[in-house]
Amino acid sequence: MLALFVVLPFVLSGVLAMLVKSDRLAGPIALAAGLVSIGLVGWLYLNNPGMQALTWFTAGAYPITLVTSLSQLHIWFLALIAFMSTMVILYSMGFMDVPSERHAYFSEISFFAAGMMLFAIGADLITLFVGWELIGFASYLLIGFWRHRESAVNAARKAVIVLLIGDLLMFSGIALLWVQLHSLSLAYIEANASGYLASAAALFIVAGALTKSAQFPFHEWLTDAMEGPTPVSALLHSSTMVKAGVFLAMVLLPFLIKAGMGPILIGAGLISVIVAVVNALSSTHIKRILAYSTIEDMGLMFIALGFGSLLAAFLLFLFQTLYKGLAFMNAGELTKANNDEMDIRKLVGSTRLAIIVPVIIGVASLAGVFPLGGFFGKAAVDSAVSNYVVYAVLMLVEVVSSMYIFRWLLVPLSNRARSGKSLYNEPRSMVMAVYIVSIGVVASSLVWPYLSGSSRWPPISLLDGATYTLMLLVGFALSYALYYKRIVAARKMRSILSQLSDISIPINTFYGFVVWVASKCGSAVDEFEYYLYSIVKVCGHGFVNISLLFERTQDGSINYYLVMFIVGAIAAVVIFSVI
Amino acid sequence: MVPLTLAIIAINIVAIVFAAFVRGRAKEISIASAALSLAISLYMVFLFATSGAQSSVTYIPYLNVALSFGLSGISSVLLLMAEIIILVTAVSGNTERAGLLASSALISLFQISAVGLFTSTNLLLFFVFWDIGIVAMFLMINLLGSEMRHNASVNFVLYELFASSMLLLAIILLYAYLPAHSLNIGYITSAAGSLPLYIKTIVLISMFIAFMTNMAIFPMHLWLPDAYTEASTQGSMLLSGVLTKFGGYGMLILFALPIAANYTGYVAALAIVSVVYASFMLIKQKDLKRVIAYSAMLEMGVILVAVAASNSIATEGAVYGMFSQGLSMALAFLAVGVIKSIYDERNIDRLRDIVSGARSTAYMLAIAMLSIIGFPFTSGFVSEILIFFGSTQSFELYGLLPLVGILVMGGYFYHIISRCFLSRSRPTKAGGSPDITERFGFYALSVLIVLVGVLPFLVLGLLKL
Repeated sequence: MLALFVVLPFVLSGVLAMLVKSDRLAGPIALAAGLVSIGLVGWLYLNNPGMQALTWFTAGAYPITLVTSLSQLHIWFLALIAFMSTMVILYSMGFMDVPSERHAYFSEISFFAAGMMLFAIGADLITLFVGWELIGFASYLLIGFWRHRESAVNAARKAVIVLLIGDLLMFSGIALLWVQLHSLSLAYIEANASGYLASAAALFIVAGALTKSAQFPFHEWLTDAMEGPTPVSALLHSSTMVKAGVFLAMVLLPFLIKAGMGPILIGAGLISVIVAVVNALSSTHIKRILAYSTIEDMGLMFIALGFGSLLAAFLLFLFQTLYKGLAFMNAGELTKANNDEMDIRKLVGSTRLAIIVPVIIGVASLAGVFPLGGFFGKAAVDSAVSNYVVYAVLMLVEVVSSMYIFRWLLVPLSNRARSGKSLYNEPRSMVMAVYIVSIGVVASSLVWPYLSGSSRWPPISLLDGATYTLMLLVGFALSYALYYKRIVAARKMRSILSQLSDISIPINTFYGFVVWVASKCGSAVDEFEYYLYSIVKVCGHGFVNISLLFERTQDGSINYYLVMFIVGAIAAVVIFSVI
Repeated sequence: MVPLTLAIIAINIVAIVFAAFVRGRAKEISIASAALSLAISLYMVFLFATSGAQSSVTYIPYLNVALSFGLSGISSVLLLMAEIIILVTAVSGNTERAGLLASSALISLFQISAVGLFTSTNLLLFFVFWDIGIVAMFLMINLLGSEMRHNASVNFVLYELFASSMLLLAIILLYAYLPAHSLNIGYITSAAGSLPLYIKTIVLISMFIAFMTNMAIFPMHLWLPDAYTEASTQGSMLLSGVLTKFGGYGMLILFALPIAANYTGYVAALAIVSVVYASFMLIKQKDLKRVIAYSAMLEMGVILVAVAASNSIATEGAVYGMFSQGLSMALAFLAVGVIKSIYDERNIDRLRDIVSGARSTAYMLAIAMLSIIGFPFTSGFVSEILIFFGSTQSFELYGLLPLVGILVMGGYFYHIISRCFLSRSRPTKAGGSPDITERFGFYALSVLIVLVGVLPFLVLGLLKL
């Protein structure tokens, strides 16, 4: 039996939620599917069927095979997806309070999770590509879920077009690899691909991975994707979607490194990290800051991968899933308590223990406070970096990174200190999901060294950990002084930040430029078609004119015919007599 | 034994005559004849699959022309596609609810042409059925189309007559210069290599121009936008679903001849130009039907790239692509026709929130669009895999260039889906919903698209016979 059955619960719940059209049942159906999925992943972990293959169809003489694998990497990714999807569904049951939309929402989110699990189980490029496209389309629907908002629909469109570019890039890479190898299983590719076509293929695949993981220069769709409901962000930014690109690079890592993609991964990651932290510091949108933080995290993973350290990237991958999911859930609670206000300068936080503890856990892990997971992940990445320039840049980035994340925490709290409001009254399912994920963050931080394969975890040097913590403290101190104590007046701060400016503006301008160029090409082609049409018309008129010329010879006048007849007869006589 | 093709032709002639007498039941008669033809075609394909039988009856003895009919893997796939689309069109194509008698009779006439063309093994018969198809389509556009139909139909018929005169030129040359004076396609394929070089070149060029005009490859595509837009829904469905496949099928025959091998690179280059050209024309269109029309042109360009690659995968891809594209284009035009009848509007600047107003129609158009851009679990995905794997095998990196066109088209499709389907600002008012016949077309085509996309060997198995 194929391990592919692991996607079935979510497929079924997607179909069911669509069919029942009941706002009350849709949530529990999806939740049940999530729980069953967790169970199935656990069962697969215990009864690992290993690599399995299924021939889908034959292209020419070669089979196109779907291969599934349950290596450590695959099974952990599956587990993270199943867990986070279930938690997000639980959270959404409280969060989504528009009854008429609930069944569509839960159906879409189920399909999204199903596509993601299909992607996570794939061990050949066709399976991965199918999952890749499915999640792209599902995320399009989820980002544009609030269809009454023009901005949401536009954000979804932007996302899906960037993702379409990624799809076609990845497809190009697949085609090139196939032509060379006539097999697309990952193991075979890693063993046999070489030459310039393989390098071209690697480049295409890396570019595809960068679009999905929202790396420079394809990152702007992710920050716009904030238009989607907050639980969707929690899912997109944690276990799914953005992780797909990193995961693709992970499973193909030996091949990519061999094809010389290391520097490209590092370069793209580094630029993304810098762009992300600067934008995060100047942004005031509570979810947008977290989105930039996601871009930063993905950039760190790509840097680790570029240096060839799969395990460092994976450690961050694991913890980032949990803390980013938690951070978005907290953001959702906060905005819900503030009537969907998104500006951190106007949001009012709460210091109630039940609220603040998960928030602090999330922020601390995200910032990388010892001994929470984020610390290990980020320190492992630092340890993997073997280039001093890159290391120095990362240290600087970490100061800013810790600054903006504590700003994210402290500004709403300092607002509370000023106005003293506290309006938290959340549905129970949201609170429950937040607690479970918080426990997950803490528990994973404690037990990760003892998990299976622990002997292969990456080394984290003490020095790197200490340096990291130092940078963190510097960032925290700055943040505390600037944003909580406000030693610099708010207006002055704003003018300093505007000096940093919004780096996303030129990127968006660039996107606009690309669209403008395409549209101009369209106009040029349109004009060309007009000329082409005119030429055809002129030819047509030419024929008509020629026919008009001869029309005069048959105007029906007998006299004229008679004259022509006599002229012809004489000519005939003359010609024949001459011959 | 009398060829079964003749039986189908006879049925359809009877249907036309009957329809003329029993005017009120014209539609039912055409549905019945289409269904019967589909059944006979299935039986023909079954016979071919089990025994590989061909049959022929002497037609013009002193010209060595026989009414010889037979099937190959390629033609059986295309035959079934044509029959399915014609049946669906007969049931649901008349979204305008006008000209019932003409539409039914012309479907039967067109069916004669399609069945004859895809089963004939003789180039002269191929030509005869080709011209019948042109006449049927001309009448369909001219009698049933919208306001500008006269212009469009004359434009269409001029281009197509030019194409068929080119084809006739090639046929005469082949007949005159081949030693056995036979137009049997199998014989031509084996003997064309021995022709003098200049005859080969003329035959190649004239046949290429003929088929390319029919497929609407740049720069011979100018008939396409008007013909597609002005034709009735039924006309567009048959035009995009079946008629342009005549040229595609002809291209496959042409590239199987041993005269085209040296020109594949140029042909592919022209096809890529056509793809990119169509994509840029597409993004300037505001009329939904015109958008789909240009996407049909684009897809035929992609198929021509695959034909030119002429390796086994690419050829499979070309046939599979024609099958898939026929179904998705027919579905797209049907959905656009229904949208037009519901909203009385096809302009994408004015259509909003179709998902709420006409749910099933919106889903169907989305499925068709996704299939056209090659989304997984639709037939387009498999055809994209086959076509691009094949073309990359022959042309390496250049074989991927058509993806640029697909990207531009996909971007515009998503733009349309976002604006017209999803966006809820200023929703357009819906007036009506698809009726049972249109729903039949929706379900039949979409189920087939998904079925063939999930289980591609249904088609590929037949194709490999």
